Amino acid sequence: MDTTPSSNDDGDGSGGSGGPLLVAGPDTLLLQLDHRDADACRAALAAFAELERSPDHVHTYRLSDLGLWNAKAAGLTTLDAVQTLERFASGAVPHAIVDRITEAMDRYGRIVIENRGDTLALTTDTEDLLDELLADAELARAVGERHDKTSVEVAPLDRGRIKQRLTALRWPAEDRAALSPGVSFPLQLRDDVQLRRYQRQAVDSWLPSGTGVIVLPCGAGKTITAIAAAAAVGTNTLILATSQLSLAQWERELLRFTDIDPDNLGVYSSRRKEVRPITLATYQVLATRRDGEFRHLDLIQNGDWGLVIYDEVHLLPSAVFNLTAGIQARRRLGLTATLIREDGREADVFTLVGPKRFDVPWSDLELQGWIAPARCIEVRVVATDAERMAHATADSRGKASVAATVAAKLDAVETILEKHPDEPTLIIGTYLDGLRPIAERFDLPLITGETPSKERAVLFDELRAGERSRLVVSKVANFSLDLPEVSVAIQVSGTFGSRQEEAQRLGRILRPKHDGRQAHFYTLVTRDTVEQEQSGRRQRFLAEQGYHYEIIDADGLASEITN
Amino acid sequence: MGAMSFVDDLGSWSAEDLSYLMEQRPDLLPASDRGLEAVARKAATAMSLGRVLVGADVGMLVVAEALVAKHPATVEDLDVLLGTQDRTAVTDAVERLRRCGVVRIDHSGGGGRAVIAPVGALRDLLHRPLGLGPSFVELADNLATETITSLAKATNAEGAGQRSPTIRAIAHRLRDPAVVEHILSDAPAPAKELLAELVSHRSPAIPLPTGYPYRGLDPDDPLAWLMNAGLVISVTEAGAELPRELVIAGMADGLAPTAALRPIELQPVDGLAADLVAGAAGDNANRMLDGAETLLRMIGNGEVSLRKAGGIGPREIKRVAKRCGLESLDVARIVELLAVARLLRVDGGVLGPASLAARWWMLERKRRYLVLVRAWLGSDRFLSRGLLENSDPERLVALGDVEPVAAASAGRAVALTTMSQLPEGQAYQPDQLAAAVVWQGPNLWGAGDPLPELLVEWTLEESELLGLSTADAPGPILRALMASDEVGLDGAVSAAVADDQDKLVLQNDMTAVSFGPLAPSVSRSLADMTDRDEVGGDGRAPAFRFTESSVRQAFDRGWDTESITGFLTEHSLSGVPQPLEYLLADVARRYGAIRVMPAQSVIVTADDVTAVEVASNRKATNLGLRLIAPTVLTSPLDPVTVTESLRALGLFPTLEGSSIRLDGPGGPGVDGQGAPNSDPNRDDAPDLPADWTGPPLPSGPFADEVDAAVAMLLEGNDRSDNDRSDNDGADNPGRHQSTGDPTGLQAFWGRSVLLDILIDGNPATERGTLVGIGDVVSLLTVDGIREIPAETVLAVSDPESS
Repeated sequence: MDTTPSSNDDGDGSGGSGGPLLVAGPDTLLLQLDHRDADACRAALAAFAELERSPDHVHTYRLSDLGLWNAKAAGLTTLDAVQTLERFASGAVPHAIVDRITEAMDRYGRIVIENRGDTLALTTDTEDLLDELLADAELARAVGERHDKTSVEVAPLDRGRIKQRLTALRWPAEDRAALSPGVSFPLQLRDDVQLRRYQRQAVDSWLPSGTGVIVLPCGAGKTITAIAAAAAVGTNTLILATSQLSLAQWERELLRFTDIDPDNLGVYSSRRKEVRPITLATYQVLATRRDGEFRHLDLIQNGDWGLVIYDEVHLLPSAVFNLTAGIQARRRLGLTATLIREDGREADVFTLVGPKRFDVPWSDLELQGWIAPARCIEVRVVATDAERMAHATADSRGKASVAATVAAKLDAVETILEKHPDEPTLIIGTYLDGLRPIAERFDLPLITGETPSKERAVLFDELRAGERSRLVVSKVANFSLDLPEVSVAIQVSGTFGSRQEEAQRLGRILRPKHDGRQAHFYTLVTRDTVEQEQSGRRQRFLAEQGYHYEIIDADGLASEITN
Repeated sequence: MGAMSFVDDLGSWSAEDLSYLMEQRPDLLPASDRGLEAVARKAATAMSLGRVLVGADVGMLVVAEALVAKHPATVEDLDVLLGTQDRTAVTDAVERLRRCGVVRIDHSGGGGRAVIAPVGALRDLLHRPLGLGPSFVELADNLATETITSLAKATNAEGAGQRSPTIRAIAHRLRDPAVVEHILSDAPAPAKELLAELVSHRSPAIPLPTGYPYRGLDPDDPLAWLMNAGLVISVTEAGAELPRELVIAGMADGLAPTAALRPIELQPVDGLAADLVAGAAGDNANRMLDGAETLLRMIGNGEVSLRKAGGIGPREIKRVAKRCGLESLDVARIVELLAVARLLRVDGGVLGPASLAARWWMLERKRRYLVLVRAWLGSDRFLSRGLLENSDPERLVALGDVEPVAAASAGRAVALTTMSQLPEGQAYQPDQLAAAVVWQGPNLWGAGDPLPELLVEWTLEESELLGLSTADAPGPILRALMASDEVGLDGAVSAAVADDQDKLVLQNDMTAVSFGPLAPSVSRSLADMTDRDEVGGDGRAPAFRFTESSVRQAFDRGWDTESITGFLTEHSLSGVPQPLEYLLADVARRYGAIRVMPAQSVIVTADDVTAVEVASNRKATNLGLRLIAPTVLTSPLDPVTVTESLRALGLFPTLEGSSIRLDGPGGPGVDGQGAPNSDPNRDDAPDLPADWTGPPLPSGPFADEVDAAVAMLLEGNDRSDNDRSDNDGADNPGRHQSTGDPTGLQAFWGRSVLLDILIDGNPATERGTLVGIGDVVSLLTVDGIREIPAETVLAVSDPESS
């Protein structure tokens, strides 16, 4: 398909009319991928517009306050953004969108938080603006004395709270106050470790400010990037992650990629209370309260950390947000594959952890060979009449369970396994009732939340080492699990409505394979059940993320899958 | 100046001037085929001149009034009278009046001075010109003859002894300040002072004391002196007037002008780059047109309803706005626009498309756009009236009972013409534009009309909605439109309003995106099978989403998988994605799995044999029976009729249902209503309802089903005979003795049953819902699904009848 207008013959790709970008509204941009200038346009747009949907032919970009502030924070000017539109738009750029960009970007940078003597000051560029801000009762209560017409005192501990309020008022503050250097702790990457170009760019983008978020797709090497950032800073570092398993992975990677002495690496958990120059802890530990008080508040607030790393920052619990508000003087690095939060608190990530500093579309990495190409296949299985009746008469939770555990899924799993006999495979599910029969039938180990961490680690290590090729795992494997050679994932049950779950499960198989083989992501969906109703959301999510997917019936599975 | 003189004048006009005259005064056009004399006669009439004055600008009106007050006159005379000291402005105004045929200029006088005179009945139209009082001629009727005679003598006016000529002569003489001074030569000083004061104030009416002047007259009173002299003339018992000739004569410096002769000098505001204006206006034009098309379609589908009180209410507007992705206010305005363009009709309280709408749809998209724009330009209805006046969006009403605005069309045209002459990218401040509009047509605004400022505001808002302007700066379409530049207009509209597209991009996220508005036929078809998606923003790139429900809706509307695929293949630039093909096939598979058909009666038979026997009985044809399951038939006739009819066939149906009684043939039926004689063999057997079209099932498959059922029945008869002999015919009517053949349980499928079974050789009973029949019989029990080998089932029965 070629949607390139024939009238665009200027040849220099400088667009004007006939460009690949259609301005479809004051905050909506559509990019025609089949246009010859699409790649250049996509690269330019990424700086200030959020890629909202990326199906196969037309990508939708959305302009949001956060996106535009992120862009301004990264040094982009209003003119840059408008010129990008003018260069690539397929027609005249509507005034409304220029207004939209100007209005939002002009807001960032007019309020600055900076050091003033021993304390901090919030400074506005005009007296009127400060008057306007102080008319907000909540903000007025949070700040201290007014220094002069355009500045007001900010107590260091209130810095985060004030920034949150300013963002809520659509007046984001540029936080230029000095960051605490922390205790020096030199950390060197091993000589044989070579960062990929985009990983180096990510570190370089984050380093000058020392705050903010790096967005990299699953499998793109967020951990090594963060370790490189920690090495660049050379200071005591607290790493917060989602689970014990994830901590173990961090520990392993730190030892693998750096020269760190294991004695300098500590894990702070309910059982081990090791506080070392590089300390690993889970969000859960930090969020633990007793008598309404955070039990481990001291770890984050009183440790002289020069850097706090937030793994999977889109999962940061609300309690940790509150703690983060109190440590705004420390360097902060957020890592994520997606800034989308199911709870909609993206603005808090922007405010408290920092603006997005680096982002690279997964499709670019796939093109460069850093991410394995994935084929997504939804397999429709048919329930028996008895299963259908059970589904029909169950309540809503029961329906999901019935649909997840239909017998035909076992046959489908068998067919898929036969199709990929030698490939490392994860069989992932949410309902244990559906996973146990699979584990039994194919004589595979089942990892659930109840499986001891040590046992899990052994099993995963075996899979990594190629000593084992298949595992059945519950949703414990959704996050932070690095299994580079796994190239087949069979999702037998799931929430099917959660965008995060879908992305994370798919992410398990996106590491490039040593032999360059394609990854396969199967999802088994029981026809005419609640699963089919929910599958529309996951299909849409996959398509909008740019993954090709197809739907096939289980009885055609054997003939339709070709490696 | 008589009409004939005007004819002579017209005879010397250039073709360009005559064209201009006809454009400005289209009421003269019908007279044009009868020659200049007829045109001149018509142009001199008060009615025709009145039309001109309605659209005249302030400068024209002031000069016309001055000319009525003092004529014939030269430009200099008028300039002095008006005190403007701006002969150029006066000359320009005179020229505008001349070109409109309101005044004529006579160059034949001596000294090369052009003398200006009003045409025809102009004087009759402008009473109290320039705010001055009536002329002496008009007031003289109130004077006694002796006063006139005395005044004629004092002014040395010649009237040949006749009243009217004498009055006209006096009036003429009173314009001369020397004559007035002569009359006042023996006046007491207070009378002179009073006259000077009255002249300077140009009082239109002078109040008189009660009973004055004839009772209690004080001869020393200065007003009495002036009245006796005929210089102040009482018109009622309570008031008097000063002839305007005296005012003109008494004001050596002329009048202090109350209105500017020159157009208001507007200060354009630098705004946007020209291409931004054009681009945004184009966006708006497309969005408006897209909205209009969507709304018209929705209205055509009966998806927009009117309130009982008339108009489309706020809640409905909000709902429709959400549905089509527009602001509520824009929905209301666009609906008004559709009405203005006569594309809507209200019939019996129902809103629908007018017959004109079908023709509108057949036009090219840019023509459809122009129809709406032109309708708006010529309408006396402001789309925003009743909308913007009501600041609460929760109370928006479209198509409400709103008074038309007399000045709407002309005022709009003036505003837009003024705007259209701006340099590119510039705009006027709305208040300045309003002032300019008022100057250009002060008489356009009726007493009951909204303020000009408000109308200008509405015009600007609506102009932007229609894509004629952006941020008050005129766009290319507006410029061409107001300049009547048809070629330019075509080019501007072609550039702005996207052509209809008939191609789509189909994506694997189930969306269809078009890079431009879709051709109506394609759009209509897509609307049948998709939901509108939010991807496409404000309508420049309409986007649609295929969902299970949208495809099901397409099937409801007569599409099938093949026709949908064919349509998509024809119009897709990107083929049909596999997931979409799967969706179509999947919905097709499930479509009709649950079927709804009209039925008043449900006939349940004890076994499938009886059901087929009844269904295939030729005499029961009129009952419209349908076999919908092995033991279930339906009829569109009421239960009483069906029961009676079946009894007439020799069957023994019972009638179930609490509100229905059957008292035997001829007895009262439902709720005491007499049952019809329903012997289907008789000629007067009940007919099917007039609107009965049969169940919505294709007849072929149904006939096949019946054939198959009959075949099965014939085949099973032999077996049943054997079974019956085995069972000694002692079956409980509610009980089915299992034969080991699971299909014998079919009648109980989905029903609550008692199963007699053997467990380890011992009899047992299981209660539950029969949900599966095969080698294994599935029973849904309180403990879950229980699966029982079919060979262990001894009997099945209805727990109620057991």
